[in-house]
Amino acid sequence: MSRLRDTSLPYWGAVTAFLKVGLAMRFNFFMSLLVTLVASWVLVSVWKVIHGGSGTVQSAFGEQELVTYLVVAQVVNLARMGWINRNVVYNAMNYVQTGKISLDLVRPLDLQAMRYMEWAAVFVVDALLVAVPVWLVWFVSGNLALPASAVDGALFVVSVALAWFVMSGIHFLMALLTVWTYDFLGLMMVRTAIQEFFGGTLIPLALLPAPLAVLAAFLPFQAVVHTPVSIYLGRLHGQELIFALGVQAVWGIALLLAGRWLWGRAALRLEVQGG
Amino acid sequence: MLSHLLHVYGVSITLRLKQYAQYRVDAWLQLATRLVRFALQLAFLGIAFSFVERLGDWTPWEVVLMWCTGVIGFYVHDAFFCFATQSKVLFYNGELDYALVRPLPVYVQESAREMPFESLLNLIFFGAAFSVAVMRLELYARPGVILWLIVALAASTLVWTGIATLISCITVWVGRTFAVWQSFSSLNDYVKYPLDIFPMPLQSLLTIVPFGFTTFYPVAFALRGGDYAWPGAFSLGVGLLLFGLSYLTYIFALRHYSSTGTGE
Repeated sequence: MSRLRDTSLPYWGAVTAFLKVGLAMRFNFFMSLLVTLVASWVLVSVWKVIHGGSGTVQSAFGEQELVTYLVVAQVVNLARMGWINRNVVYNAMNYVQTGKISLDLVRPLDLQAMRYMEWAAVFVVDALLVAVPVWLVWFVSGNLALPASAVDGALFVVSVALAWFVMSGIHFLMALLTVWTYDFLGLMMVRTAIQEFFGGTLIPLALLPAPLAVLAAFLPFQAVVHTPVSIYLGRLHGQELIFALGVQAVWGIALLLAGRWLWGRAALRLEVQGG
Repeated sequence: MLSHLLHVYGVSITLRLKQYAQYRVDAWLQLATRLVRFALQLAFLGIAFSFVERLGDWTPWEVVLMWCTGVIGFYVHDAFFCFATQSKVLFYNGELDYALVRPLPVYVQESAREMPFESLLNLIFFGAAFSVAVMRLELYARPGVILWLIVALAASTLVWTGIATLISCITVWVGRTFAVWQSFSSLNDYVKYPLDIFPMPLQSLLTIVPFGFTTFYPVAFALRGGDYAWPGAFSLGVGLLLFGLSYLTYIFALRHYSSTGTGE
């Protein structure tokens, strides 16, 4: 027991430190909050126009359901272009590119676990200072529905936690790819674009053309946004619900293992003097 | 003097392009990633217009034209006037001194020092999309509209350069402004839609924070004339005003720049 405590103590220290850094940079989160509010307002307005003119969209979603989908998708958008979120991920990539990762290698912590902890701290601060306030603003404005039921609300929280697990796996793989590519800005931008498109942030997956919807189902990004939002809306029940949560967990574990494997390869190629 | 400045600018940019050519793998990777992003952005509009023929009163190619005008303005500013964006780093770290001791205007030197490859690629993609939209809307036979679209691109560039310079200059007084610029620039992707489909408060917001003058107003005036006369015709004026204001702020910021850096 005491061995477990000794092993985990440095990680909790890291999380606490990252939390403090995040909370100290409140202004950056405030800007992220403003951008997310404007972005969600724009998207909702555009989709309301499309909804009003399309029988197909109306048959897939009621208006309030569509608005709720879009806003909750923005709330749980872990690829959000917020400053801290970008900065933390950029840092992980930049450390590889510049060779600063050498300092991480001499710490008595597992690199992958430390990155996951770092992103957990960002996730918590982002949830407190961006996601919940955005949800509250929309809810108070009367445009947003509550979760379909209390159980759906609780499972939504579980699903968002699993989404963080999946997202951290994606972040870690992207950071490691920098060992081979050196260009991290392009990788980040294309990941964000793919994630927002195939994750259901910009377009509900139910409205994607069939071939793209099939492709989205085989990518991990739907596990980050589409699954939690579908649970929130009460669109998943029984076996479907268990399957969706299972898919999230499997993606999280698969990405964790893939990250572990790739780190083994990347560590051999690492140029600690930077690229 | 001007020809000397242009010569220095040209030499700097040529060196930068040669550097890109030497790193071919990086260049190809950047090309591929930007192409994917561009394709997905287009796909979003394609899917939206698979449900409706028009967005409000606007056809797909009209929306593409608005979108491209805003984005081209953004990337012209980023490619050719990157000092507007980069100066916040120089102010913050106290590194502007290197440029200040050289016998050329700081704005020109620093803008010529960098030409983000990403911006060049985006200019090519969005320039192509802009040209296709012009062809599809059969605007090539209407020189007045083409002329006004060129004015719209200039207005868009001036507005973005003005916003970037203003935010950078504020660094001298308040310290870090990175988050402010990142937030403004990330909204670039959300202002491609016709403003008149939005509720009035959102329209007002995107007019006061002058994104509307980078996309909707000048293009709507070019395409539809009278209905959008006031804001459309004044787009260039808004751009010039904002750029002028930002340049004055820049001169004022230079006077307050202490060479020590504002941050760590």
